[in-house]
Amino acid sequence: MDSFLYIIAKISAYSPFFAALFALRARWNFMWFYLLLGGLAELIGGLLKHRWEWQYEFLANFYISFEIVFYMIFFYQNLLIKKYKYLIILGVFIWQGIFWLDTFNQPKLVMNTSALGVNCLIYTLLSILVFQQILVRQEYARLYSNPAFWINTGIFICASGSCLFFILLERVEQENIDFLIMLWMTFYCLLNLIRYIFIGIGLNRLGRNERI
Amino acid sequence: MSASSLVVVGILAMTIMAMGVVLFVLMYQKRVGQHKEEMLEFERRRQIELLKASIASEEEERSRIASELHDDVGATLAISKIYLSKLRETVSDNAHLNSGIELLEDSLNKVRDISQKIQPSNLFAAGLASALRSTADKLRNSGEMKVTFTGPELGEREDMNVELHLFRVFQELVTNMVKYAKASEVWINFSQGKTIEIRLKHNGHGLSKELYKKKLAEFQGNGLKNIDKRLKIIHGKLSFGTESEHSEIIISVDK
Repeated sequence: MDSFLYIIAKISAYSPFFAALFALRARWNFMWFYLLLGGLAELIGGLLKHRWEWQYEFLANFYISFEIVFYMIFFYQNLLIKKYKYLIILGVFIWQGIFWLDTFNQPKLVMNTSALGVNCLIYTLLSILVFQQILVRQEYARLYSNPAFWINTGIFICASGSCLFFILLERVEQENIDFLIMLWMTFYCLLNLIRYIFIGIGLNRLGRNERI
Repeated sequence: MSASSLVVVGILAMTIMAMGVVLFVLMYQKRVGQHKEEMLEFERRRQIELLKASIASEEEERSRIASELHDDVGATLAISKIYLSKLRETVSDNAHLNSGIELLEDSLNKVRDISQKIQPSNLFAAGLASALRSTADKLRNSGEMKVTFTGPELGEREDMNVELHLFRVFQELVTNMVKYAKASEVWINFSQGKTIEIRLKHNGHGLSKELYKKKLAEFQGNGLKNIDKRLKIIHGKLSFGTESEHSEIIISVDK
């Protein structure tokens, strides 16, 4: 059982690379670089953990910090909220400030999971708005050929499924650390896998010079 | 409830809810797509009904003009010819009179021809094969080109509307060929199976598919527009082919 979970965790960890390979035709799209970022973060995290026994968890905060920028570009492009452009940029800057202050104010240098939980809630809400926009705009007769639909679905399922997980992570850790690891290796890894598969499919559907 | 159970329940509930939302989006889009398709189908049917109505009124008008020509002008000319022929018996120097009678006879034939073209009575009486053969004969008799017709003597009778539209399309293509193709040899083939097919092949400058589409798109040529309208009504098809130095147009409709 343990080895099975380990395989799932590994596949999930390196799924961004597979997805990026599958979506190679969209290699100049910003979301393709997001896949690269996800893959690299896992790779570097793995190296630091196994080779140098570093406090690798703390470095995940940089990933969180970059992830929100990529997602906000995606939501910004798909929500047609160009008139609030500066507000969004300002919002991201404010978020970064609060996030890093909160991260450094934690008792020890670990991953800021509660911020990640809040992010997941934001992504869930924005994804629902993107779905609404897709249905209103009706640019594609079939949703399966709409890249934004696939990417948004991936983000939505992963974010909504894991928001409670991140919000309550610390409490679960206090209660039962083994259970937490099991949860991480099953639920979260599966949700993560779904996210990257969907983003990969979405990017694969995208034309070379087309924007999402 | 402990935090661990709460997380498990929460993850499951939220994931199921998320899938529900995605499913709803998919179903909604499917419904919108179906509605759009229904609207398009409705619009297409409406267009065809309009075309049918416009062609029907055109045919009605043709029929009226053909009847007027045949029954009124034709009859008047025929009676005039009889009177003049009677007069010939009493007049000694009848050279001018003979010329007049000849002109009258010529006019009578022309009126009959025009009436026949406008309302092809042999199409209604004997069917498409016969009407095509008759057109081929007339083309041959004009002496301007060598015409070969292949097809059944009488052929099966098809739906009157289909026969009429096919014949009109054929007439229009023949008119175009005579006007522009400068052909010296023409082959007409008619066949009926699962598909009714009329092939018009000649050795002149043929109309290409590209030119046909371009003219239609640019709204040039009433004849081509009529061809398009008629083919839409009977769900017919026009195909273009070039075989060595010959041009070929195939009019076909599935039964």
